Parts: sequence; C-alpha cells; structure tokens
Amino acid sequence: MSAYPVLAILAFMVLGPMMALLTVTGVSVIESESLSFWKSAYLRRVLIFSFWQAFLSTALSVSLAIIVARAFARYGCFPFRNLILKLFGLPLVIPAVVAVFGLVSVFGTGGWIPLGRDLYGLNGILLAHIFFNLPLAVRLLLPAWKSIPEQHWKLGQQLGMNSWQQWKYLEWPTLRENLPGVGVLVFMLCLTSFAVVLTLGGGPKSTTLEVAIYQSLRFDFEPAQAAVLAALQLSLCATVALISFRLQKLPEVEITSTALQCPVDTNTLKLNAVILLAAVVYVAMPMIAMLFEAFTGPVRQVLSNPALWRSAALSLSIGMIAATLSILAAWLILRSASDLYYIKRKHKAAYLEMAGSIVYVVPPLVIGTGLFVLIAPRFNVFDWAIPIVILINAMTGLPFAIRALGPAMRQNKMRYQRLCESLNLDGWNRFKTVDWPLLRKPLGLAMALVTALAMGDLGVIALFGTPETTTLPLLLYQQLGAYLMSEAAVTAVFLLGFCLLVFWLLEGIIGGRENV
Amino acid sequence: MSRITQVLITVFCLLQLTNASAGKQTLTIYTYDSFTSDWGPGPQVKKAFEEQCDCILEFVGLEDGVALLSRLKLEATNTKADLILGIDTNLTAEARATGLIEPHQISTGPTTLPTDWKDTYFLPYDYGYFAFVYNKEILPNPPTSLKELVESTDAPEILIQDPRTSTPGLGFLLWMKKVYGDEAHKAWVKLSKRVVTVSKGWSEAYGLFLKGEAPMVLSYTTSPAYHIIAEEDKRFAAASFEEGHYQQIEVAGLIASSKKKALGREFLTFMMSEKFQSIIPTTNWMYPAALEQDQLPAAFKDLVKPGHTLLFKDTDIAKNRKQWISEWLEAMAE
Amino acid sequence: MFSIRQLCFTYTDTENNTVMPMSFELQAERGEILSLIGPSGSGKTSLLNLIAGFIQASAGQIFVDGEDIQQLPPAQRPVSMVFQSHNLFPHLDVFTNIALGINPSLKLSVDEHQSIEDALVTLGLEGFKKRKPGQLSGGQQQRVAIARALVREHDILLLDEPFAALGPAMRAELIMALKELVSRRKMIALMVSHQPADALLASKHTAFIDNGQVISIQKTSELLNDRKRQEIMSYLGSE
Repeated sequence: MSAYPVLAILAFMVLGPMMALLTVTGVSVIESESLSFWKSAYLRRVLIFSFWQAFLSTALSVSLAIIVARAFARYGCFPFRNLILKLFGLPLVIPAVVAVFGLVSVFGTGGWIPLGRDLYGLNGILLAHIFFNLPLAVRLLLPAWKSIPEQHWKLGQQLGMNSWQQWKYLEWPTLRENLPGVGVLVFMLCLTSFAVVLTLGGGPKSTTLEVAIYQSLRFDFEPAQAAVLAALQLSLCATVALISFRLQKLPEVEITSTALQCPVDTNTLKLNAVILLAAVVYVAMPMIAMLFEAFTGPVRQVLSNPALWRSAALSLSIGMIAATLSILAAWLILRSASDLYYIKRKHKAAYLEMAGSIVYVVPPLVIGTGLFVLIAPRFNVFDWAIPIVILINAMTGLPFAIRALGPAMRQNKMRYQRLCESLNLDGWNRFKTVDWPLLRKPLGLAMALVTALAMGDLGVIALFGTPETTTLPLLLYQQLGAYLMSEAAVTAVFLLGFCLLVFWLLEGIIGGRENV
Repeated sequence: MSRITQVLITVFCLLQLTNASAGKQTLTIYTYDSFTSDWGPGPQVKKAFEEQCDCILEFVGLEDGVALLSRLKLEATNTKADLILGIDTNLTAEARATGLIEPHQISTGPTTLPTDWKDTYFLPYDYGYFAFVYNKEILPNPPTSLKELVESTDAPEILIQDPRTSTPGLGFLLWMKKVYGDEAHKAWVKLSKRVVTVSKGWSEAYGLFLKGEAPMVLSYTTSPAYHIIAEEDKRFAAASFEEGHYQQIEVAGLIASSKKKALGREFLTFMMSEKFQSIIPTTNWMYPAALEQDQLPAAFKDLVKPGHTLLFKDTDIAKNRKQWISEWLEAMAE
Repeated sequence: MFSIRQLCFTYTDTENNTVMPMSFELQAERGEILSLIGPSGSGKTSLLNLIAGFIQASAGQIFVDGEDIQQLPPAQRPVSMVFQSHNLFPHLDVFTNIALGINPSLKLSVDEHQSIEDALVTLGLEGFKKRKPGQLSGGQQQRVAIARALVREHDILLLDEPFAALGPAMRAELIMALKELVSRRKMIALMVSHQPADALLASKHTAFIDNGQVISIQKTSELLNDRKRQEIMSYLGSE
C-alpha cells in the first residue's frame, strides 16, 4: 500500500464532512445576505489577523527554538537532559484553558512576572504560542544536528571556524532542510489556536478564522458557511505551505554518512547554559504554577474519584489507538515520499508530506459535525462516537507523526536502499532488520507525541454527548464549569503527570535505550 | 502490549454495559454537559425520576445550550431525543421555529418566576440573573449601576465573555442593549477601555477573576452562593445594579416526533415538582423556577435581588442578534 | 622533521570501558609520504585524529621541527586532513570550498585568490570552480580536498584513505600528483591506506600499525615482503 490510498482516505475524511455540511442548509452561502458576509470588513479583518498572528508566532517560536536546540546540541550531556526533553513534549498536551491559567499565574497581575494589562493582546498570544510551540520545535529540530557528518565537524575544527562560521557552513545547511516542515506545522498550530487567542487576545480585535468557523457552526447555525470558511482556511494554509517550500531550496546532496553527535562546544559553554536555563525556566514556569495550585487543592478527593481513573483509561486507549493509526498512515505516506526522494523527485516528495499534514487546519468541529450529519440518519451515533473521536485524533496527530518520522525515514532510504536491494531485503525482513532498529527512536517520539496529544485533546467528544464516555479533558472542563477550579487544577496536573508517564514509557519502550 | 489490550477490552465492556438492562422504556433527554456531570443535577434527577417512573432516564450531555439546539437542527425528525432540557430564553424562538417542539400542555401553576410564564412550548426549570461578581475585600465600593460601570472614570476593570461563543456573553450584550438601546454602541466604546479581556466561555473568565486578573467578572447573581455553601467563603458578592439585571430562564421542551410523549410529559410534571426543584439550587447554582422562597437554601436568601427584571422577547432576539453582535464587534474593535 | 613520542590514548566504548590502550612512536621525513598500513581497528585513524587534535592524547609529544604541538587546539596545529568522504560542503561551490581552507570568513587577499587559482590548475580543476560537489566525480571531489589542503600551506598533510573509493587508474594518477606536490613543497605527509599497492606507489617508507602501536617502519618494499613478522604476514595474507 502506498501513500495514495491513505491520502484518498484523508481527503474523504475531510471533504466528505465538508460537503455534508454544505447540503444541510442548502446553498445559503450564495444568498444575498450571506454574500455580504463574504465581502464584509469583518471577514477581511479576521483573515488578516489570523495570518498575522500565526506568522509572528511561528517566526518567533521557530527562531527561538533554533537557538535553544543549538544550545542543546552543543552543550553535550548534562544531568536531566532527557528529563528536560521529555518535559518539552508536554506543553502541547495541556488543554488551552489550563495553559492560559498557567500563563496568567506567571505573567498576570498577581503573577511572578506581572505584565498587567500588557499581557492581553498580541503579547499574550505570542507568549502563549511560544510556550506551546518552542518546545515542540526544539524536539523536532534537534535530530538535525545528529545528521551532520562527523568529518564536517572535524573540518570545522581544523579550519578554525568560529561559532558563527560553524553555524553558517555546517548547521544551517542541514537545519534548513527541516525548517519548512517544522515551520508549517507550527504555523498551522498557531493559525488554528482558538481559546488562547480569544482569551489572551484581549477582545474581538483578536479574532481568528477559527473563531468565525466556530461562531457560524454554533450561534449562527450556518453549517455551509462554516464549511466554506474551513475550505478557505485550508486553501490559504496550503498556499502558505507551498510558498514556504518553494522559497526553500531543497538540499543538493543527500546525507549518506554515519554521523556523530556534535562535539561539545567549550567556547560558548556559559552562553549555551544561559540559553538552556532560560528556555527551561520559560517552559517550566507555567507548569510549576499549575503544580503549586494543584498541591493546595483537594488532591486526595480528586484522585480517589473513580471517574478520574475511568476517564484516564478511556483517554489512554483513545490516544494509543489514534497514535497507532496516525503512525501507520504517516509511515505509508512517508514511504512513498522517500521513494520519490530517492529518485530525486524532491519537490513531489515534499508535497506528499505536506498533503498529509495540511488536513490539520480543518477544524475538528467541522469534521465532527459533518461526519455526524453523514452518520446520524443511518446509524446510532453513540456507537460511533469513540471511533470518530479516534479517527479525528489520528488525523490531528498525523502532521506530528510525519514531522517526527520524516527525516529519519528519508535518511534510511538514502543510506540503505541500495544495500537492501542488493541483499534482496524486503518487506517484513527489511523492517525487522533495517528499519525498526534505526527508526525506533523517532517512532517512539511520534507514538509518545501523538498519544499524549490525543489524551489532552478535548476533541469532538462533547459534540456527541455520549453518556458514560468522559475523557480526561472533558472531566476537566466539567469541573471548571461547575465552579470546581481547584479540583480542575488537580485534574490538570494529573493529566500532565499521566501524559509525562505515558511519554516516558512509550519513548522508552519503543525508542529503546540511548545509543542504540 | 497485553496490558494495553486488557485496558481496551475493559473500556469496551464498560461501553457495552450501558446497552444492557433492556426491557424498560428509556427516556432520552438532550441537555448540556454540566447538567449531567457528577457535580450537576443530572445524577440526582435520574435517580429520583427512575424511582417513580419504572423507566430508564438517559441524559445526553452536549457542550452547552447552543450545541444542544444545533444538534436538534442537524438531527431534525430523526432525533433520538424525547425531550430537550437546557436551552434558555435567548434561543427559544429559534427552537420553536424548527417545528420540532410540541406544546407541553402542562399547568404552569407551580412556577414561581418573578413574571408569569406564558410559553406554551417550553417549560422553565430554573432561572438566574446576569451580574458582575466581585471580591468584597478587593473592591469595597462596587458600582451601583450599569451606567456607573460604563461611564464613571474610576469604575473597576472587568472580565466578560464573547457573545459569539458564550451564553453569558450574549446575555450581557442584551443587557447593555436593554439599558442603552440605540446608544449601546457608544456605551460599548466607553466600556471597552475597561474590559481586560473577552474570553471564549464562562470558565476562562471566572478562572481569571479568581486569579485576580480583574476585580469584577460577568457571571450570575447566584455565583456567590457557591462560594458560601460549598467553600464557606463569604468574600464574594454580586453587584446590584439600579437599572435591573438581565434574566436568563432555562427551559425544557417535548420533541414532537417522540414516541414516548406520555413519559415525556410525566418527566415535565416531575420537573415542576419539589423533588426536582430542590435539587437545582446547589447543583446548578440557579434559582429553581417552581419552588417557594422559603424552601431555598439560606445562602440564596441573602443574594442580590434585582429591582427590575430585564428580558427581551425571544422573537426579538432571534431577529436582531446578528446585527447586535456586529454592532458590538465594531464598538469593541474601535 | 616530524616525530611522535610515547603518544598515548585509550580508546573506550560508549560505556567508558577500555577497549584498547594505544601508544605511538613514529618519525617521518619531509618531502615524502609515509604510508600507514595495518588491520582494521589497529589505531591508524586514531593516530591521525591525535595528530590533528580531534582527540586528546593522555600523554606524549608531537614534534614538528623540534616544537611540540601536542597542547595546541586543532585550528592552531599546522595540519590539513583529507578524509575518505565528506571533505566538501555540498552547498558550496568548489572555489568556496577551497577558500575555506585559507580563511573561514572568506575574506581573501589578492595573493590568496591567486593561490587558489594556482591550486585549481595544479590539480587539473580549471573550469570547475563554480561547480557544486554534487556535480563532480569522486576523483574530482578528492582533488578539491587536496587543493584545499595545499592552499592552507601547512606542513603536515594527513590523508585518511583518501582514494579508497576510486578506481585503480584514478588512484595511481592522484598518488603520483600528490607525491610530486609533497616532495616539491617539502611537506610531511601521512597516508592511511588499505592497499599495499598504493603504499608501494606512494611511499619510500611505510609504517605497520597493529594493536595501537607502530610495529615497524621500513622501506615499503621490504615491509611488504617481511616474512619474519607474523602480524604483517597475516595482515597481508588476509587482504
């Protein structure tokens, strides 16, 4: 099976629901009253703001991530390095509203670094998006340093390159291969960010397209308008992705060497330590604030509630099945992409990867509602709630799986394709002896990332309202809605701890030990 | 991996259990999520009603009243719901217009609402008033009128919700419209300088308020009752405004296509009974719609009582909502 | 005159277990290429890395004309190294790749500019200076690497199996060119090789390395026919 059936399924999963929504209320989109909406200054403002904030957030998150990842790569080993990298997988998992509370504990009026009213507006949005995306980008960019050939580091040393020159000749050329992919992923995350933008944005000036879609599906009940807005978001994001791939020259020569970790850079040790410390403090502060709040809350009461553990089990199952599906789909797409890469159709390969990722920007609410429209007349929706939640989570996780696995799979192909062909190594045997040992590390990261992500996602479960199926984030929102703010704080930290544990186990079990 | 399989099997078994115990009639009620949560009225209501009806009561907890109405529109006559419970008077006109709701035919005699209930399609089960909640220690002299909040130069900063995404947010929009009428736009422009932020939903704004991000938050007159009863914390109060407070009435209605209308009406009658009504105050933190004042918990008696009740006709809201929201957007973006 | 005294290094695995202790003793003359041969894992490449300063010796000295360079950082050692592969940066053209050898900031004087042009001519790379490494053959890529070593004008040239990936004719051609250059510039050159034929062609003298030690330095032809030493016999027999 190649990428194309997978992409066809994805297209069906996205376009099917959107078509379904178009038919619910007929063609109201082109009626005169709606037409004025499409021409309105409101929509224009929303569009401009969505892209502007996403662009700024991405630029800041990714450039800071490069600095931090570089410090990580050049500092060598230090205690807690792995723990910190695992912590860096967490911010993305935190439900938006909890993250907002965490950030407000740090930067709010009564916080450790009070920004006062300045927090609300673009500042707040950027602070939050850096908190979410910088750690993710660091984790996704870090492997690039490992793919720099050992000889190049030696040459750099011998030719007396300073830190800037090493960056220019060794690191940047390798890094920029991965940059468009990581950049587009972060861009998509910022573009579709919703509760954070609305709450920290300070008012309706900070309205993103996602808010408009939500609004038209709910209060206004114009599913067709929502579908068209989603299509607009999809096509605009695709354009951004295409441009970023076009602007970026793809690498001239494939990496086909063995590589060692970059040597410890003794000249800038102190500077790197400061950078690392700053990044860790920034990412950890909101989480520590959450921790403080949880410890003063009714810990025992929350933990002794069997509903919490039921929700945790449900969330974990959903997460792991979704992650498995996601990785399977990513694997098939990437296999075709690296085949294309191998025969030097690099742009086509990049588009294939992008096609798999881009569906992320169609809001789950749109897909969920559309699927609901498709399913409800024929089947019992309650039986379908969990499978649909799993499917949607698998789709949401796909760009992360593709990012985590892509570079490694491509490299494997370039290095070992000929060898495998000559040894007639194929199929399961090839997977067992070549792919699995070499790819288990990125596989572990992908599995952990997507599972944790699905576990922290409120998703569309609330759309179905299925009795007896409360996921952890839903439980958290129920507590918040019932004035139980301190219980919610405990649940939030439980969710985080649980995700960290799952991250640890999955990365450990699948990824194997270091240096394998 | 075997442990994971075990967990999965357990989860799916749990799911299957819910389909068991057939034989009895099942009454399906679509409501909002916080009604059915462990802390909401749902579990107690289910227990009490099942004791008297020899049936199974199944709540489907959707995100909120708006999601509930959307769901109804999407499913139309195919809906599995026999009843809907949890939309408010801002949405009743739209809900009625779907033609999916049947007149309730139940006496509204027991209702204790401040005004007589005349809707023949929907029955009220609880109500409340929007209000700004504050911490008495931080804000000893809160504004005493909406005008003061909007116009006074030293009025406190506030946290509100977005009318495009939240019910209280829409409630406040209507409140402003009721008080200011055609001047609402100007009033919003003035007020906007004092708005710290406009959150997606009630939880975000209330959470930020408890964290001290602003001295006042848009919530309900009944919110302090939660802190008094559940936390024994008497610092919080709702500011009483001279112009009166905008009212929110939550209602239930019978689905026209339901095959269990008799059972449905039995539930609606139960809903107006003391048993159901006395569950409401300390689980939904609202005033019950059919319970005498003296049966309310003590903390409720000390709450702010609005001098005037403000409420738009539901058909007016349905007609003007979009336009009022764009007016609000313009004012706030200035 | 180049000599190495008691240069010690302990090769460890990833868990810090000692795998092999090494101790080198070696002398080389200017103007000729000293070949280093020996079994895989005997320490040939480690020796080059020690001289270049990529790894740090625990004891011993490296003398170049009587001066110990052992404490200098890699960039300050008078050393240029050519690897078997990955000598060039794939995104830079031939000229820039060579120019990096003179000054990584690429600020070149007129003379330095000229010296690069000269090196291109010397190695038969005229007309290739705007090409990217991906557009060159394996032999041409190694010529560029040697050109870079030349423009650096450092005394010591270290070659780590530089021609292993090339065909016999190309190899012979490059060795002859290299030999001529080393002799003309009076350089000190050490070349790790796995081909006795290469050693025979390139070097008057060859060192045999085994188990982290220089077992013997002899005339190349003698060493290759040395029947008395078991290690050399088994190495050559197994090749």
